[in-house]
Amino acid sequence: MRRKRPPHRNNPSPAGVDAAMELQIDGLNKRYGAVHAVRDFTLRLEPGILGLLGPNGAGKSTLMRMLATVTRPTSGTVRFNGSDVGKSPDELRRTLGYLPQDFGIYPHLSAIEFLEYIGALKGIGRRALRARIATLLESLNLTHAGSRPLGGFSGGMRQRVGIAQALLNDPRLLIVDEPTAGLDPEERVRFRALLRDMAGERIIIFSTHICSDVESLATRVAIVDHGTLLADEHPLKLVRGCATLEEAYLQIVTGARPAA
Amino acid sequence: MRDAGRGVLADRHRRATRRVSRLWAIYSLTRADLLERMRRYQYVATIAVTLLIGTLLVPGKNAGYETFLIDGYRGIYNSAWIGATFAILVTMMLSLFAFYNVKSAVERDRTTRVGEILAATPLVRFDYALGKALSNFLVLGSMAAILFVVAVVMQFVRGESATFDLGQIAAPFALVVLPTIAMVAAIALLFEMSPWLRGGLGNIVYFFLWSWYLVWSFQSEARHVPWWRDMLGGNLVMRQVWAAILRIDPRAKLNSVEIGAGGERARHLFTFHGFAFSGSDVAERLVWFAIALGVVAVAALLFDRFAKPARTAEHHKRNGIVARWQSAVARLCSPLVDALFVGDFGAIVLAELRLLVRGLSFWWYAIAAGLWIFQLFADAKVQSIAVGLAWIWPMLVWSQLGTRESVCATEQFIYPTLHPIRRQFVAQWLAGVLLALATAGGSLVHWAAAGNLGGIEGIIAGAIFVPTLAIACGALSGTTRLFEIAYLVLWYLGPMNRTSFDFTQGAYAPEFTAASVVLFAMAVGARKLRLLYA
Repeated sequence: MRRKRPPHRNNPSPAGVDAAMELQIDGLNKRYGAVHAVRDFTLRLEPGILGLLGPNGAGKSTLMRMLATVTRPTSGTVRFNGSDVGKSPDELRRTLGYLPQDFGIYPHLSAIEFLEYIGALKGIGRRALRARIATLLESLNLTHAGSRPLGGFSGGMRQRVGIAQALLNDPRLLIVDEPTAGLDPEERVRFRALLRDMAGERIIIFSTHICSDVESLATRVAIVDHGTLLADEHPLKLVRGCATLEEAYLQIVTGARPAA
Repeated sequence: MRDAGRGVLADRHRRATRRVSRLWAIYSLTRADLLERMRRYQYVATIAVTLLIGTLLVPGKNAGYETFLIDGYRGIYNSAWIGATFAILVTMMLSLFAFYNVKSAVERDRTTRVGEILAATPLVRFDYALGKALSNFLVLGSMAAILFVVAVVMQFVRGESATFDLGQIAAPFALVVLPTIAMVAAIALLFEMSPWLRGGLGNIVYFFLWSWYLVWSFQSEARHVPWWRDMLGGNLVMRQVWAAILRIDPRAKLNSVEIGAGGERARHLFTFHGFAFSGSDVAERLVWFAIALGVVAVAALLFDRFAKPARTAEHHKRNGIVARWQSAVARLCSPLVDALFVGDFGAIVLAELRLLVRGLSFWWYAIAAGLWIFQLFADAKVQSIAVGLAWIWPMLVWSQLGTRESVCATEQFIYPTLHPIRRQFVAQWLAGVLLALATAGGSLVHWAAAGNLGGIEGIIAGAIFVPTLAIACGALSGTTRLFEIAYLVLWYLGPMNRTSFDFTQGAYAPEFTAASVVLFAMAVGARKLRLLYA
């Protein structure tokens, strides 16, 4: 008999965790003509939260698009639990939650209709989907607006709908590109709590420019610039010798301090 | 053994679950796309126009036009004749105009950027294509359904026959119109999936393909043609109607066929008793559904899953060569430009002109120059065609007028500026007019050298009319397609066939100037509404 996954796990437990879950990125490169967006990027990830930091145009979004199977790398491989994502992307897609940095919505659909649509494409059955949408709308403080057309939503509300669609399939790999952009302080705290709750059994990759988000959430920090991985450390180790993560980040990016 | 059996059962169960899941995904995709389209005001406007056109397809005795005549014969408005008339006209109308209406299903996912979310799901390419094609089919089907209801109502409105037979109206709709719209839905999707055909070029290609196919399939008149020459089903209708005419007048000769709103009046009325579709007729029409499915499969193969970024470095590089070439020309012309575009408003016009022509390739200018020289030396008799060719070339440039702000999402920057209509909108229109005058410059010089003021008048009226039509269509619809199809039809009927729609002729200059005034007022009204509700 198949074990039914709970719609949302507020209390992460080791049960059901894929002990061998890992995302292995090897020598990943992406070129757009003369522009080398991502260079020889190698990283191995296990369950936990990876915060991606880097200046604008550093290649973070391109890297995330490749990990989310939206864009194919020019060279290099991504393996999810040993399976080559380039050759069989659907293995990863079935368990992926992805929030792009610059995503859109259908303005004439309601939040529920939009989430039902994305959920169906992710392969979630109708009954399970309805329950999951209700839970997510509540978690993201959108229950009151579920039936309203998305065209009338504020930027922060749209962002929360984006987050909800990423979490629909209870993903084991969650990739979120600047998820807290446009959220007010209260919603940011709520979203951080949501990510923290989910973290125990998943690989979460999130990019941001807000160092405090990384400090409070990430179990690992990767600093990227010009498409190259400059540092990959635990936030506390990275901050060593500096007053804040922001200071450590600036030192690494400006080259004042050798990467860890 | 028992374990092996259990494994097979589990495998079957998994496959069945996956099939259900795929069907659910296709259903959800079709539903969401359909809801998103139907809740847009453009859909309501399309339905209103469809309803209006439907009533015009069955003209009254004093209407001054007929819509379907064969050699002067028109059937009395009984169910069979109304079924035949609607079948032939609706199949032609939906296969052309509705193509442009539905060719936006994938584009919507690109422009709304929902595509990036879809790309990260396990959605199968064919399922995506099928869902979008079904949505296209249902939108077209909703138009056909409305026209079907109008057809039924119009029989009672005209009241020429009291005998009502629903099957005689429904059968040609089902056999002629539905396979056509299945093909249109699939072809529109194929065009959207092809990088070369998804934009304005595809709109032009489809227009010429459609025109050619129509002529090809109708050229045999009422003789039987192979099924693959009759995608629109027009030959099927014509054959049966002509056979009915021959039964009442064996000496009748097929001299003329009039489909659409022609000025010729019916010389004979006859009673058409209806269609008798054979098994092979039905099979030949049903084949088009299978072909449509094949076209959807090909479209799915071309689907890039939104992987390609909007602008590639190669694009920048290519534009870099043109940009260097343009800046060299700009340096040479800068004293002249400074003298022409003086003052604040002049600067805006110049900026709009630059925006309009930015990104055009070297070859675009080379061909425009070639057409300019052709106008200069062309005989007076072919000036219309020469200017027509010169003015089809910038069609995709003009189609930006009135739409650029919404397409490039710059409304929030443009609308709060000082007098956005009086300055920016008018400047944009003027830039379009200047482009028209520049591309038809060869003809202006030709007429000036010949001392023909009428010729100059025609070019100036046309140069005002075309960009005004563009900006009106753009401001009203918010998309480039309305102008592209309206202009293509007008261009084909006018300069290419030298009818009274020829907007390059001095003889029709007053009419086109008046039309420009009306269109400009509509464009300003539409932009004012957008400013109010932005």
